[in-house]
Amino acid sequence: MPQRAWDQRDLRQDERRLCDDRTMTEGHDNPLESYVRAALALQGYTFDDAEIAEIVMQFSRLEAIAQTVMQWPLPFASDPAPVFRP
Amino acid sequence: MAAAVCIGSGAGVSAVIGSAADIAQQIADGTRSAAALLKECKALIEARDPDLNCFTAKTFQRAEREAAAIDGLRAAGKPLPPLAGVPYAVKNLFDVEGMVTLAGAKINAGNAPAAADAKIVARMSRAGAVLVGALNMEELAYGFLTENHHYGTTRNPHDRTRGAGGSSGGSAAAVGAGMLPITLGSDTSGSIRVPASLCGVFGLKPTYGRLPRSGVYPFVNSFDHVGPFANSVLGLALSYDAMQGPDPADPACAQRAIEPAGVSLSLPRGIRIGILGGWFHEWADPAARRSVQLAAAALGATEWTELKSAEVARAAAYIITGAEGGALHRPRLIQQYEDFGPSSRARLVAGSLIPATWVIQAQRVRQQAYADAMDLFERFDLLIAAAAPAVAPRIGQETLVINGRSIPTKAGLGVLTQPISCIGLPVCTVPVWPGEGESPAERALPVGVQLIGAPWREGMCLAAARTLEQAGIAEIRAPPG
Repeated sequence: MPQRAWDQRDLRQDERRLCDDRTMTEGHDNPLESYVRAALALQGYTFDDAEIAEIVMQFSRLEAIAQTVMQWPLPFASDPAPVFRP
Repeated sequence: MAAAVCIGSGAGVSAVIGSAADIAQQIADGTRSAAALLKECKALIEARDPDLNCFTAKTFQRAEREAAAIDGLRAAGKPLPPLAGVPYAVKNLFDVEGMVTLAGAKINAGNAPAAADAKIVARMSRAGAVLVGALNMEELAYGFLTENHHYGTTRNPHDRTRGAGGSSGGSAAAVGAGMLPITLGSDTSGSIRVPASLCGVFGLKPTYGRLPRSGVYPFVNSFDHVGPFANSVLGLALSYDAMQGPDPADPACAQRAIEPAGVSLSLPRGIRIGILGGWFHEWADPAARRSVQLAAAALGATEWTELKSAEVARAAAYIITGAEGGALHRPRLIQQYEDFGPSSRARLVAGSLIPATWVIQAQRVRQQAYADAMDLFERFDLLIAAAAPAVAPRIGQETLVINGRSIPTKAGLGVLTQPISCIGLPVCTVPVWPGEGESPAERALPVGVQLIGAPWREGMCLAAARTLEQAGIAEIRAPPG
């Protein structure tokens, strides 16, 4: 992909900040748990605390792996992998 | 070679089915009828499956009809199709007319039966193959074990204390146990290549979009592939060729003409083969490294290289898989959470909560990783790496320890396959027997090798597999009696 002038910006910091927004969540000691509880409610799930704890554990694994993805340097204008073919 | 033969003598004798090409030849020349072959195949299944739990359903009535049709064609002097009378079975996420498509899940058990065969099942029928059943798998194809909470664990035919791998575990074990010459499976992150590696059989994951997925229960649209397992490279090629062709019903299916691979399985002179180091070496234990070494030596490969984005490609695949799989099942996770298996339901819910920023970034990473791989294919025609980090784990084993690092078994078995399916490259997995391990039991088990081609170069992968098969490096071994 050809580099454009605005590709030269290092967006990793922006992306890291977005990813770290979870740390600003209030209400629980574990910021991931706060996110999971809010997202579960948004998505229409109803779980008890034991089930939520298990989901939080699974989400924390995803979050750890997501760090690798979010910190990977990419040109600003790089495209997502395409699937849709009109 | 007889279609069903005895290998070995005395203790440990195992009857195994012959190769697809041998069976088709025998039926064509009248040595054996399709009905007689089917009877032998059914006897093998009835004798062996109770210990292994490969099948979730048998379709013997249909098989008898299909075999009779082949025998009728021959009796009438009409030309026979390429897989005439060859028995096969399919992972239970393929639609089979008149059967409920389970995809390994209780939540699907009450669904209506499929109104028609999946596209590639129909194509196998058109090629003369005889469908004998549906095969066990990891629930909803999410995991590498086939320790299915609802339908039981599929055991490894070479060591019944160990797993068959997954998610297409029944498909790999049925071939590894000598019950069938060909089965079909799907591969989202390694679900053909991992069980092929653990059960010691050949497996082909074609290029993403090569084979149509219409009538196949979805998991992750961005990564879902379908493909065959076989007990010979030619069987793999014949079934792959039979299933090729465009299908407008699958939007991800490339509308490409058939490019037959079975007509020539010779490697071109001067082929450039790279051995994948870095991530692929770090996550291969001594047995897996030995398999790669044996394959590389037989192919004359000496140059090491790296796919620099392998780790992040794997991570991207993990995120996309979680998000798409979770989103797909969210409505039923809300309504029927208790009906999902305990090892998958919390993972699926967690996946459905993944923020869009992660998914979009992962799809961008995927495109970048693809570009990195294309750079490698400027220098190499084929890449090789282990298909699993180690031999088959024991059933219930929760952790793999690879070169001193621990990883959960259910996800970790795919650590070497996930970066490749993330970018859709074609891979033929071949069974190699490294003879490495801490115990005699481990030293008797295979670790497969991935032969990875550039997009649409399945023929190159299959030709390399055939070279290894002819050299005796890649081989099917009869299971213990």
